[in-house]
Amino acid sequence: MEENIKFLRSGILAPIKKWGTHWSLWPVHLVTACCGAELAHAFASGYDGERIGALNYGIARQTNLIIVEGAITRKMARVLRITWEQMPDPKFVIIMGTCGLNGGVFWNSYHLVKPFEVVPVNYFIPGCPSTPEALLRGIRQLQNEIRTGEPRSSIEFEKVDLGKGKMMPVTPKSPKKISLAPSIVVNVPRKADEETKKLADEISKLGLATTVTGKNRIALRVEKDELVDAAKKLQNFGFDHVKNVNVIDVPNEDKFIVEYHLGSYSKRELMPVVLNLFTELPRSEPKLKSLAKIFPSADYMEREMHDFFGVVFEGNEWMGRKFLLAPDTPEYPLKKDFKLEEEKYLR
Amino acid sequence: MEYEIKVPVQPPTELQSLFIPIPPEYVEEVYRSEDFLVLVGPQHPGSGHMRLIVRVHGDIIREVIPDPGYVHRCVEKIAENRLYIQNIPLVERPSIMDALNFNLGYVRAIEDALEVEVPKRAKYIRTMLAEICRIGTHLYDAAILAVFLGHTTGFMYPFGIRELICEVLVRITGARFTSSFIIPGGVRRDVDEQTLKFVYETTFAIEKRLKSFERIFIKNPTVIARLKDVGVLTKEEAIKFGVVGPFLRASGVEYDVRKVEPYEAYGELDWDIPVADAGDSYSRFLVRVNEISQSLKIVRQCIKNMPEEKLKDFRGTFFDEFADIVLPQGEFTTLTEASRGTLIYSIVSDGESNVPYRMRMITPGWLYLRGFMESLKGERLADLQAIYGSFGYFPPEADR
Amino acid sequence: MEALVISHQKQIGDKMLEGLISGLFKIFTSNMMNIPLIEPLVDYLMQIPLVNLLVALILWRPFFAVIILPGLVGLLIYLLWIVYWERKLTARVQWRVGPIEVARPIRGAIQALADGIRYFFQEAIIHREAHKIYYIQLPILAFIPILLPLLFIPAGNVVGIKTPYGIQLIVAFIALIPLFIVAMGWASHSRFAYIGSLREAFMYFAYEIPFIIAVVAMIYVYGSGDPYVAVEKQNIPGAVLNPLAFIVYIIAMIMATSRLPFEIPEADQEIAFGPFVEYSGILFGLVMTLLYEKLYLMALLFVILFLGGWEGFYVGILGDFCAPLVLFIKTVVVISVLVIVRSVYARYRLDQAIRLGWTSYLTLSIAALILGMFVGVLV
Repeated sequence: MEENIKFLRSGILAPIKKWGTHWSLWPVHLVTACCGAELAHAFASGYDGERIGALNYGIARQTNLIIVEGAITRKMARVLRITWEQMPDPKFVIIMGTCGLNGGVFWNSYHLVKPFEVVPVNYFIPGCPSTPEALLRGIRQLQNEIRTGEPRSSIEFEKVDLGKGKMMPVTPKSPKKISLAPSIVVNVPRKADEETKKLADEISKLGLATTVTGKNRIALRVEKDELVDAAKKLQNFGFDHVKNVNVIDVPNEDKFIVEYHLGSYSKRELMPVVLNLFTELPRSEPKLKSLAKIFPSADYMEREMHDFFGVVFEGNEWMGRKFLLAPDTPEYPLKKDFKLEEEKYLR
Repeated sequence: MEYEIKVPVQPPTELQSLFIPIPPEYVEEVYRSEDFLVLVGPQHPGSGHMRLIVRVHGDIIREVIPDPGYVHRCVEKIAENRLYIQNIPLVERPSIMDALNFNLGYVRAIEDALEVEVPKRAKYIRTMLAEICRIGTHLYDAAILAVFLGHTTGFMYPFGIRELICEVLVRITGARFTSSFIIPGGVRRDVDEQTLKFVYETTFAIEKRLKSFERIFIKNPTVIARLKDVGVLTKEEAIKFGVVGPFLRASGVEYDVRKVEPYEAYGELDWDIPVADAGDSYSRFLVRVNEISQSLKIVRQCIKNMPEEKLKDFRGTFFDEFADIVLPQGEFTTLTEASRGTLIYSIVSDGESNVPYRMRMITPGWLYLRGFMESLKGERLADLQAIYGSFGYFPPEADR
Repeated sequence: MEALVISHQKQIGDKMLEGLISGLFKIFTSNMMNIPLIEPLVDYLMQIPLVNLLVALILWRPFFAVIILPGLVGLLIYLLWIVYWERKLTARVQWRVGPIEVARPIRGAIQALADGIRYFFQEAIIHREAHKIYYIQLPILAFIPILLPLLFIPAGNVVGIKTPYGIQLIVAFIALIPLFIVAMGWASHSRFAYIGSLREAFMYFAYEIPFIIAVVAMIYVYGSGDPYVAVEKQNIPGAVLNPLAFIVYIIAMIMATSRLPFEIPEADQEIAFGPFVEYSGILFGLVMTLLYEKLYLMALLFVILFLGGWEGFYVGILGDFCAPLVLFIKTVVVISVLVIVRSVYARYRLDQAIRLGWTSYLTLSIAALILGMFVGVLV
């Protein structure tokens, strides 16, 4: 077997094999993140990657090139590895975009992995997103490598001597100012137009205390146990869907603020209004009744919040399972106790 | 009369090794009930960056369980860790073809909190840019729909037209996709007359090319056969599942944030909301096609009515001027009509920090995912891709 | 003594071999192609021993028909051309240029060759769940129903096996190909392959009956299943004699070879190439060309039935070679025109295609049959 492989790589037929592979680099359809838009441009009318023999093709078994389009998440890393293993030999990997190189804007994200730790990589293409020209150039470089056998970078950067130049007297401070004891109030009253005030009064008549927090924005605070009742009342009033389910973690006051932003599509005068129905939970026992039965539109967002904060929405059948996050993600990453890596400032 | 086939059915072993968010009991139950589980994605020629667990009975889809999160890049957590203005490039990454709408929504939330007055010319430029991005996104979705139906020409034409959009964006902002051009209190720099003239002419070029797209794809009998009466969401269902944007309007609800809560220059311009009643895949597609022509109209009006005013150029001084923004205490929620629907930013500030305490970003994709899943029920397996394409579901946008 | 026996045996062996060679030579030369253009060369080569056997074999009519033209060599040339042409034509429709850089002076015409070579040298994966023996065998076995019809397709007096039931036999063998595709899907043991096999089987029902009826209609028109009779009777082309059958046959060609809008069994966006999902390397190269080969066979029959077969131009200097050439050119032109549907139509759904097949399409084919009967009486 070893001999056969050696024969293929350097025997009499090797030049023919190289020529065929050279002109037939077919990238597999594995879209991993947003650079996919530029990849599509590179293979569409404008740039036409088919000119150089690269044809974006269906599945891993029939192709020989993976173009990783940007960020690889923990969930996608597994898929990337499986795809790479499914691919017949010889196989190549090109990584597109800064996210694959060093994380890019998402460098300290808790859900990202470095693709070069998952699969062996032939070429990196910088850019956020990389332009189609850059991608096609990357493919050309790979073709050159196949033909000549030696990898070559298409850009030579100037060497910078870090010892030279003036050094800052002190390490610069981070521009960030973060309050140590933040006080979070969701329903700060603000001035608004008459119509919103009138509407707030009308809602108040249902027995719910409202605050006007801006034009067309009304906040409504209820106790944890009254949430379902209030939601039912508001549904009868005309609010028919949930735009947003939000949890705010306030560790120094030991509470979670759970918000439901309600909206209406069926009543014309309620259309612009966003009603913030919120309640507070103790951090030690974050449990409340789910509104997914009343507003099915809240279902997926409740699952998401469960992933992020560990708030249990009783009655939502997905509780206890991960929905958006990979199983190996750190627990409840959006809680304030979970800290991301901070930027380091160098002198 | 039906004959019962007594063959012991065993769940396939391959499912055990994969990570899928469904319990093994569910898999077993499916196989006992003569159904079939098909896993579509993430590496599948007709799927984006997500997995759909499709339970089919014969050729009919019984249930679809989504497995999103393959592109979850934690925008919300990262945003809590950066300055307000450093988040501008971050929030437009989830949906890069629609970057300026996403940019606009976030900036508006800051402006709403600080009560900043935006110059009128800047408002017009922002509106124009948002609409250009809307055209681009609708074309992108049309292209994806076409390729899902196996129509490669329908894929290539919109991308050919999109090159014009990219060119326009490059001339105005300097970047093909993610330009971070809109900043609190205006835009980064003024747009000169020559560029505006180019944009104006480009709208006609786009219109002309759209005609050939219409001939080959929109009015193609095979396309109509595939999309008509497929994946119907009635008005009640659409409201119940909180569908947004063009997909809501295709079900007969006349809801557009640009009309119900006008922002920027939308209140001063003359345009209509395209609405359809059928709620099927074809009307979802047609609504967006009609929106393209409305957007072209808006762009032309913006250029014609552009007020003469001198805008400040922020190049070079940007960081110094904006780094130390501190929002007042409270929660600030803005609704924006991004291309695929309502985009919600909700920024919670403690009034002391210059980073958001919590930034909640709800993208249209995440909002209509539920409606998308419901509309698949009862359809054929082959329609999965047609409906997927008709929703223009873009997982990076939904997962954030 | 022993040496004598051995030499005697050797002599007998030599004699037998000589007899065999001369016998074969006699068979080959008795039915040799007559091509005036290369006659001097053939005459020269015929004087060299053993080489003359080879030359005689190549120019032996049955061999030439099956292996050279319209047989395997023609098939290979056609494959390289049509894959390139399809990509190039599609690219032209789509505001692109298509493959070009591989060979700029000839507009990238050898792109298909590069792809073929890449497939040939790629690793052929046989996955754990596959039925190994069948999985490898079937793509190769699928060549049987491709090769057998070539035996019966005549081009002038160049023909493998001459039989008055030629057309029926060709149709019968073409009908075997879907069986192999279904079997491949079964052997792949993958859920997409399984769905693809089912779709292939359903599509088979949708097109096969109208297709056979269309052919039968033409047999009625010509009054015989003999390709020679069919071509002889086409003073007016068959397409004019029975336009309904002509239309039915064209649709059948598109449906049977999974071209858009009926690319349902392979539907890559829906079920990821269906039966072929797991094939890789040279095995995928084989299965991918299978449908192109089927299209070639059906188009050959199409040309014989509707477009006057090998009757076209006659160049004296080409002699017997002229008929296969005309047939081949006509076939390739027909297919080259046909591939444009790929860039125009989207894919139908399975139920729509079957409904189409069993209603309007079947009706049309029956109308073609009735028309064929009438025309058959008149002609």
